[in-house]
Amino acid sequence: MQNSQKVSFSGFQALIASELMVLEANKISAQTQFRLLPNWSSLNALLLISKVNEIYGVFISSADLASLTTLEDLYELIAKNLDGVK
Amino acid sequence: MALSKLPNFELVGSTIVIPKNQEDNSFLEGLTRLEKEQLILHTGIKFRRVAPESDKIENYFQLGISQLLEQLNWEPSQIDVLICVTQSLQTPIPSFSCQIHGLMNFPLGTLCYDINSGCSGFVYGIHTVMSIMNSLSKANAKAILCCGDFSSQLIDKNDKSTLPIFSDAVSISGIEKKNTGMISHFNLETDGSGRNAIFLQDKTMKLNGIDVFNYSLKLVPNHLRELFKRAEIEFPEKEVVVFHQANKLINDSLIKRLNLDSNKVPSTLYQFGNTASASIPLSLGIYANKNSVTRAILCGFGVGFSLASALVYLSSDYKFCIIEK
Repeated sequence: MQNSQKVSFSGFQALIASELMVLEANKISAQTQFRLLPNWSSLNALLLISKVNEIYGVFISSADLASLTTLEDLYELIAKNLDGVK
Repeated sequence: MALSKLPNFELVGSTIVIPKNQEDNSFLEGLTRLEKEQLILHTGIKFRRVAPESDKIENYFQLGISQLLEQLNWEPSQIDVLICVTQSLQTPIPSFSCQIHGLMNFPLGTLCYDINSGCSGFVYGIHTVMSIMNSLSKANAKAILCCGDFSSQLIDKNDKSTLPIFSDAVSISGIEKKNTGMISHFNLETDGSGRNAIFLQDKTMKLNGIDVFNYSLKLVPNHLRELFKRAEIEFPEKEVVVFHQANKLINDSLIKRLNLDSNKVPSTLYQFGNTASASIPLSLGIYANKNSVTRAILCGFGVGFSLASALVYLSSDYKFCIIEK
């Protein structure tokens, strides 16, 4: 993996906020359903997945993403892949 | 990996034929201004060529071959091999290569067939052409490789993720057996677990952007490193690296992952979009018209999921042009 740094939720939250152009980062929480965010689109989903790959070295497939609902789900999937558990 | 090497071949020229009709992603319907700006920024694609529905792809190939023959000073009677790489709506009967053979009045001694391939098709096509010519007894055999699609005819006009990416174009390339002593190298691979990343359903092309991104980033870096190793290129400092023009996000990520010099990795996305199997000869030709290129690294990846890379040699008088129809 390109980068083995551990993923903190606050770092992940900041990443989501910047990639999905959420102007007030404190408005998103672990329970936020990412598909309901105002700028969620297929393009922004792709940008998010590419950013997650660049920063954490983790690949999230479209099937994985489709099975997730909240930001916590996504965060946990990344953390699990970083630990190599999967 | 399927590694292969073939001696004594040169790419002697390419012609690209594109429709006159150009569409601009800034004017896409059903997206906000911000969404369109984001789309152009991240895909890197502003303009696309779209052939009128009444246009036939074989006429584009025919026009391009005539132009190439003239540029190279080749006679139709000299053509030993004709290979067509396309993924049109359905396999025509007879094959495109037989149709084009007839339109061009090529001789009885021309070997013809089609290859069903997209993004990696130009490199697969070169490998096929060179392998065939290597088996021919003729010393200075000449081949024509046709690649390209009218992807616009496979796209649902309401599919706002696929429509802005693909663009129509065909390429016609000349490849010649010459006693240069130079060896072309190839790495040809397939990962069929990615067969659903891009596929045709009900005569419409479906593209899953996330899966295409993932397969590209997972597979292409090691795939290319194997080619470099095989061709004994420690790091491509001198050679131009021509990627299939998928989209800016994927291609920039690959450049970063492989630590390539972006000045040596041409992009034609902004002006021509993703032109499937014509994208590598298009990008190589535009680069070669402005820079001196003796050998080039080519890398096609996508629909399949299919990967093909090569180190190939260009003739010193390599000819390239783009014509509109």
